[in-house]
Amino acid sequence: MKEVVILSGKGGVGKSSITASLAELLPAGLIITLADTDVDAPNLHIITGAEPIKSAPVFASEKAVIDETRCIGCMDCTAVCSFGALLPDEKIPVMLPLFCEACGACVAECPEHAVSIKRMQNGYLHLFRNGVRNLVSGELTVGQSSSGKIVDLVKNEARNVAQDDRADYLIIDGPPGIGCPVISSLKGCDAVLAITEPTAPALSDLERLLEVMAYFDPVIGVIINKADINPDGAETIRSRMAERGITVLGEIPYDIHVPLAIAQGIPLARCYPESRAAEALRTITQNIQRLFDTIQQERNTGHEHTTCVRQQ
Amino acid sequence: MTAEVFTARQLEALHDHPYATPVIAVTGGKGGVGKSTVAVNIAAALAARGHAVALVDADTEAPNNHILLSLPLKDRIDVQVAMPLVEPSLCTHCGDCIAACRRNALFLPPDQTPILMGECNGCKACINACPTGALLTRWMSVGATCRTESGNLTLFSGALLPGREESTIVVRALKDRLAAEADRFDIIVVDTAPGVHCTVIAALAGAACAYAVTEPTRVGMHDLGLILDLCEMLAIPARIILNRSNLSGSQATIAPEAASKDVTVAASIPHDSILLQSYVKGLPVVNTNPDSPAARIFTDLAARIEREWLK
Repeated sequence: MKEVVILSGKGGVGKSSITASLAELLPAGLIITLADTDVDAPNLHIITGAEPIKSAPVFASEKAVIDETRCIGCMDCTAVCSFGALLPDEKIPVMLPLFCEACGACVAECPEHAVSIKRMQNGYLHLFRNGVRNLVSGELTVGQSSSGKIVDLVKNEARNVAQDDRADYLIIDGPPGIGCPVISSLKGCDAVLAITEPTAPALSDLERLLEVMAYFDPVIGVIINKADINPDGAETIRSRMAERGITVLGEIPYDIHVPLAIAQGIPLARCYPESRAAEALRTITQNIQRLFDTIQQERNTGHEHTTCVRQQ
Repeated sequence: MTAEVFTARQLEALHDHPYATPVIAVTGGKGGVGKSTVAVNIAAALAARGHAVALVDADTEAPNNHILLSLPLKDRIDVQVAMPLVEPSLCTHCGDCIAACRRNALFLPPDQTPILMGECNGCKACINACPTGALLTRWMSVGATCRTESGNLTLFSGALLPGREESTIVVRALKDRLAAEADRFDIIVVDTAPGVHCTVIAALAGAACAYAVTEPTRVGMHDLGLILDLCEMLAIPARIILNRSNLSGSQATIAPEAASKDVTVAASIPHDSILLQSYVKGLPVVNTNPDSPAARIFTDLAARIEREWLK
């Protein structure tokens, strides 16, 4: 099974739409399991039109909790918190749990043993199904923290489901940004499809993402979405990626059928198979398969990735 | 679905800041809906109307406001966290530091001094736990803040170092840097990251109101619901900005969504090629094409912000 993560740095460049269509366009004989690790704003189930099968609460967050009956109000704990989660107050410190990293510095400092670390529910794991295809998704409860730990749980569950499915590919729709949920999404993957668009902000965010990926060394393929909205920008991306030795798998033109497909909750490739964007995605899917075949050959022969970008 | 997650005292502590300048946040749940476009244009329009504006780019994982304003990043200050540095002559191999580290980042090989091997988040629990003072502090960069002045507008921009996870710490350092001179500004505009996680909450802290940018698609509406729930929890009044408002999608669903949360639509911005060109050029449309439809919408919004907060 190959594990592929879709990332972008910048949000809203088309990760979920492309993930949904990619799953449609890979040859029918291949078994695909999907996962959504954008736990802040999970959308893949909406775009693929998948039906909910089951959900379970997750307790992936640990927080310091003050026992107010034991607290003597010395405020010693507030002096050792490095994360701004404990603030001095008149009687009992104010706790801001969402900034708490459960490091235990306050627990150790409290002379009355009034502080302890407790495990909290911070979200849900969901299983969706679209036809025969399973989608494992995570959801951070609004106002909670530790999204990276929910991503770890989504990935564990998705790997189990993919194994039961005897999947050829586990395709993971990742979060925007470059922070902890992105790093958790990257851990242990074989390949990253990095989606970008031909604008300076998207390129800047892509290059920051490439720096993060250098620590993980996956095979990388870049897809330029809405490539024709700024041809000069697309050329800049092509030349920057060439300098870095990173494969550009293809380009998708701006196409009104993309938002139309999202509005209907049907992947573009199924909804408008004749559209220009779907046509481009078919070519890209073939290029992705070739890229994956290379990984397999390299693994078999024990060679290092040829497209690695490690610079450190 | 909104639960009482925060007590009144917690909200007070979260929103407390040592200045009186009004803070407006631009947020949105979903990525790529136009948060930064709205933020730079509101800031530029307010600056053009003669106000001293601080624009805070708090999307520390993917900061782009400087690109959309074609401004260089100046006055870089590192954001650092404390990590342990072992002084072997003082170490008694007691193992207290190992026990203190809940991330299992410290390792004590037999008859040796502790080694930092895992992911340290700079909590200092090990340094505090050491009975002999053998753990000194070394400072590790996790990001940087920059400050660039351009006429009436001062951009504060924070960037997480790629590979690090402390986005929220960089946001807090950025806001501390702003706080030191916040009183000299008439208004502060904060652009947040997408999502609803702690980095976004740290950026929203202290805001008098939040503009939630969305687009009329099913995913846009879904994520708008999440950010409106978050604003309600944080007791921050929210208004909606509907970007690409003529996009064929589920535009009709925004009215019930807004009504159910008692939130108004402050502006609707149709898809506009002039706005896209200004984005690509890296200049606010209110400056490049002040008479274009999009620029008029931003200028009108800035005028309303002015009436509400600056008079």
